[in-house]
Amino acid sequence: MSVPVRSVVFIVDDDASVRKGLGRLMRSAGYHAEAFESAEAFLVHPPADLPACLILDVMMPGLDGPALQERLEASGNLLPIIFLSGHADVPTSVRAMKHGALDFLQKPVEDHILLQAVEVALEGSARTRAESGEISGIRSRLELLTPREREVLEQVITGALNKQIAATLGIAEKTVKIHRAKVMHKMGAGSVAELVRLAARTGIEPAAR
Amino acid sequence: MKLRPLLFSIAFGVMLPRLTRAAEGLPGTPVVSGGIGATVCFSMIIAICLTLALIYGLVWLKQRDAWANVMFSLLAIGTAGMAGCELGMMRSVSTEAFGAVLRGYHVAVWVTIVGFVGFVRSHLKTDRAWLGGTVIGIRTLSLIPNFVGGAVSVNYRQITSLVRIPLLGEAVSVPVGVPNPWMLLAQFSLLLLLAYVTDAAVTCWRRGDRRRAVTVGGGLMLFISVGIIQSILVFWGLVRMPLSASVYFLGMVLVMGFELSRDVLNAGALSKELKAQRRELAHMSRVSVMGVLSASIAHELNQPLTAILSNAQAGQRFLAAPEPDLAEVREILKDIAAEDVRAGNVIRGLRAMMKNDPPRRERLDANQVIETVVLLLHAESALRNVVVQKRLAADLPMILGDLVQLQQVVLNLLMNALEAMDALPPGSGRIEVCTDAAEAGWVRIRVNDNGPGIPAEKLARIYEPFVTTKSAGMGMGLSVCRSIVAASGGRIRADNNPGGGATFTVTLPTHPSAENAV
Repeated sequence: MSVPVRSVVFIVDDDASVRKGLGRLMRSAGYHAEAFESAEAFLVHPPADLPACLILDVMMPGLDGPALQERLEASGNLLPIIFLSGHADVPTSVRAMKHGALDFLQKPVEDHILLQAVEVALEGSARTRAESGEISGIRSRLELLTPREREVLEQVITGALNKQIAATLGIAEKTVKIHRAKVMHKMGAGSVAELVRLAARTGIEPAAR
Repeated sequence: MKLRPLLFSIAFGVMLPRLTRAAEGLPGTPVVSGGIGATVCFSMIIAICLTLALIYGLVWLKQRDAWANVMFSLLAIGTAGMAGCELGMMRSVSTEAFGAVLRGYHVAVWVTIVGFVGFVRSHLKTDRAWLGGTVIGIRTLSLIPNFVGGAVSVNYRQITSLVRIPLLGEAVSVPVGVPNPWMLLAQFSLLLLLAYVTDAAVTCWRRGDRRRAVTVGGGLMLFISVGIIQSILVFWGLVRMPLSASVYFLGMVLVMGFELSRDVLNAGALSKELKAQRRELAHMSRVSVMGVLSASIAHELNQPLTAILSNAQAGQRFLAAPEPDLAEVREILKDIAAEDVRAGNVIRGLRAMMKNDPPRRERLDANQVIETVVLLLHAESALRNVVVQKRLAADLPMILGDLVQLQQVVLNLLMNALEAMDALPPGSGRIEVCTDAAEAGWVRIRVNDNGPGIPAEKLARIYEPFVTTKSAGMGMGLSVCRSIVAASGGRIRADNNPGGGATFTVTLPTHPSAENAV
């Protein structure tokens, strides 16, 4: 009667008892947990294709918590991180939060605080995954555009009229109209406003005028 | 107790002139008596003085900086010489013999005065050394008319006859002669000596050492005054009595000897105090190391607490389920108990290190000591990213020592090694702690690291207090280690490894009962 796993909570802590305790707490709240004894062990583990979060110990031999956070950040992994620290260390916590940590909690941690943080983290992870799904959809649609259509797109989102675009690009206004229709079609945009939103999601800047 | 020699000397000094004065009614009358009271008495003075001189001379040989002791010896030898000469004069039968002894007498007096000035200088710590120097100088000058110029001595130009008078039941010789005016010089030196002692006593009193000012300063002033009065009365022919300055000097010798013996007794108390202070220092050093380790100790405690809390709350959640998994809950409770024991051990170790109990001599397992300390340092070494390896010999003989102190030795050595790792690239530090019983009757503990080692110029001095190779070290750790190891009858040595890093070797005697076991 295995329930399909919908999310996963990773735990990285060098202390076996703490790993065991946290793992139990996650299971008692209905989460699926996977524990690792070191940052190195976690890094060689294949990333999960599920909403996930990471409960990370700060002080560990070898690669410590903040160092693992940096590695993940550098590799573009957007896993939400909840730090667990043995002692309040303001510089470490500030640094962790600046690097996008979701929370920085003190050991020993109360279950409702940790579980709430985990819930927020998993929701965030699911949202991020959905958003990144949407963005990769927009990106793949952008790929379909020809270079000229891309140029026209960058002009359209500035709010320029067809006549102005034609003048800027040195082509006939009629040609601009055709390109514009193709762009709207390929991008699946029903209006210029929607096209602007799609472009903004993928970071396309309006052309300089 | 301290007054007894003083009173005795005073009584003796006062009695003697009275006894002799009683005999004055018969000037020039030969007294025939078979008694030897004076001979016995003066021989005893000689014996006492020489014994004391020998004792304090030997003390000085052991402690070359105890100048008061050697000066006291000189004073006692001089006094013995004076007593010998006085006895010789009393027993002289010819004026020539009397004169020869009297001349020699002044040499003994000179020695006594040099010792006296030196003693007062080093014991009462007067700052007017020039006054003492002047006393010796004038006394030395007075030796010239004693030997040169044809007079009998500095006291008499001429001795015309000897008179026999009774003293302590014995007939003794007393001279009749013409006083030598140079005698004023010798007596002036005695007055200066009195001034010197008075000044020293006053200085001592002002400094706040009133007891010493009264017993030593006052005692010396009293005896010297009596001596001066007698020498004036006798040599200027005012009273007919034998010279007995050695009696007063014996009084001074006893006062000074008593004073010095206080120092010897104080040394015992001082050594006790030193021991207590060393213990206090070891405790302070332990507490301060614990302070340095507080963050990692807190971490060490926090881990079991974290495990306990998450286990307990997971257990509550499991029990709240419609069909609780009781097997899981049983496991949880078992783990909670184990974690509680773990936290308790951390606290126990910490409390032991903080305690300041008198050291005990007990049977210890060196391996156990090392295990405890390595556990205590677990978080610290993890934080510093240093690997601490143990190579502990199986069936190691038990050793004799104090558990806490020995833990402190191992802790200090390991902390030093950990801190030495700061000089290395992160993650490359290796510390090895091993035990073995290479030598019968001894257990060896070695702490060996791959750090930068100890600079050669500091290798011989690292055990001295306040000598450190760290940028922020007090330099107390190894000093404490050495005193602990020495108190346990062991040795400690440091060497730089040929391949880099340092090795500290502590060798400790095995427990007597371990001899049979090995």
